Amino acid sequence: MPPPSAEDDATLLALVQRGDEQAMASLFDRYSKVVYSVALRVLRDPASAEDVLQEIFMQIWRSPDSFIATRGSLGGWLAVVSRNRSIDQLRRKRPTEQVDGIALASSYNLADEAERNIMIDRARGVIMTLPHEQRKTLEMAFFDGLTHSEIAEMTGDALGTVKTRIRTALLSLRKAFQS
Amino acid sequence: MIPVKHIDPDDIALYAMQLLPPDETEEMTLHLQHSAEARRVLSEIYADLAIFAHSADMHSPPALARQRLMKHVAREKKALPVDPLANRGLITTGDFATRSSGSIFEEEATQKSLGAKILPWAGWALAAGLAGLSFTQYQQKTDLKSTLTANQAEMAKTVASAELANTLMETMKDPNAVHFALTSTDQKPPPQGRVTYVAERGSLVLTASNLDKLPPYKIYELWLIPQDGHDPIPAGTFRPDARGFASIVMPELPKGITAKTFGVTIEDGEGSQTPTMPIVMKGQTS
Repeated sequence: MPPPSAEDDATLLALVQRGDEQAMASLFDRYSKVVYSVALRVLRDPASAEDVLQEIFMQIWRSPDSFIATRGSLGGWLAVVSRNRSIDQLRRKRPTEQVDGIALASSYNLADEAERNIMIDRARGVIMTLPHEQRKTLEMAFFDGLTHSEIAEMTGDALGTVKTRIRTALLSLRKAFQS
Repeated sequence: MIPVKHIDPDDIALYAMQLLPPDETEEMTLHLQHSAEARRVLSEIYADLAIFAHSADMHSPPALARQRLMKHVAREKKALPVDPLANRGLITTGDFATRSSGSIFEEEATQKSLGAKILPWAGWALAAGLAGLSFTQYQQKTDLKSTLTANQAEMAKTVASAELANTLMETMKDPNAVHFALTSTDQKPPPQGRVTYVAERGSLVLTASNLDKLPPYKIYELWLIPQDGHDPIPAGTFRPDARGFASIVMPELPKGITAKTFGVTIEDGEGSQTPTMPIVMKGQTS
């Protein structure tokens, strides 16, 4: 495997736009682990997770311009896209999310491996500090793709409580990362 | 007319996770088109979700995934933009051709013999023939390259598969392997497990049966309990199939750890770094 490229995501995407296969390989080396891990967490099946991985990276190869707009937060975007594609696959749905035109308010440079690892450790640490109900509800929504109605039915909580827990968990996560 | 309606910020989080029903999704999409504030909230939520996504246990994709992607990428080669220099060259040739077929040439040509008329065209015909031949050869070379890459990928896949099978056989047959039969005190139906473990290689195979189905957010986890009294080492997670069968083959384990025994617990999510009581199955050397 070649050493990780020092080039930033925008440069690599621009090279991919011109058909540079090596740039594509560098993006894969940089982000495949996160994309695959998120898909595996949702689908719990290595073969299906690899399908999602291949599908997402082929989308980058075919339309890198739709990811260029994500500006510096490609890693974050790919993590969210991987989750959404995996949920679509669980529901046997066609891919629905549109990457174009949606911004992601992130100040993390996930192209940098060290920063990416710090983010992973910190995310896990912060999540463990969330109240159990909040963490569990957010996991059920994000990783299991359960709707708020389904979660309410399973846990016996009110719909409004489930929604508020999800939002509060995300706000706590943000606050902990900003502090 | 833009519909004005109060949007619950909690619903924006559900929208970001694609968990709203279709009618509410449509309504929210419309609202987002007209509200910069809602778009700002959405982009913050996406950033929060990106952080949360990174809390998943990290696993490297299969070794051949990269090769498979690059093969696919090579198959969908992009048409590169036309090189302006090449363009210029084309124009020059075209200019020459235009000039060659112009009136001056025609006037001169009328004074030349039949042989002199044919000779320049023979040159063009030869060039066209050579170009055609080169193109065919180029195509053949590209086809051969693709076949070679495909064969190499197939070969690598076969070798990796053979290596795994070989290691598996060696682990099962190794005279130094210690075997643990995992049983439960619960008799209806009793879950059973068998661990084959070679300490010096750090290789392990677990097969288990009669396992109870777990809720989606729970998972079984196998623990290696070291003989030297150190903390239990996670030795892989597993979920039983519909018939209660499960297996772990060659998890990532440190080499040279002598096992006192093995145990299985039920953990949250994708497993834990420390076992959660109770132990649902425990091992005895067999």
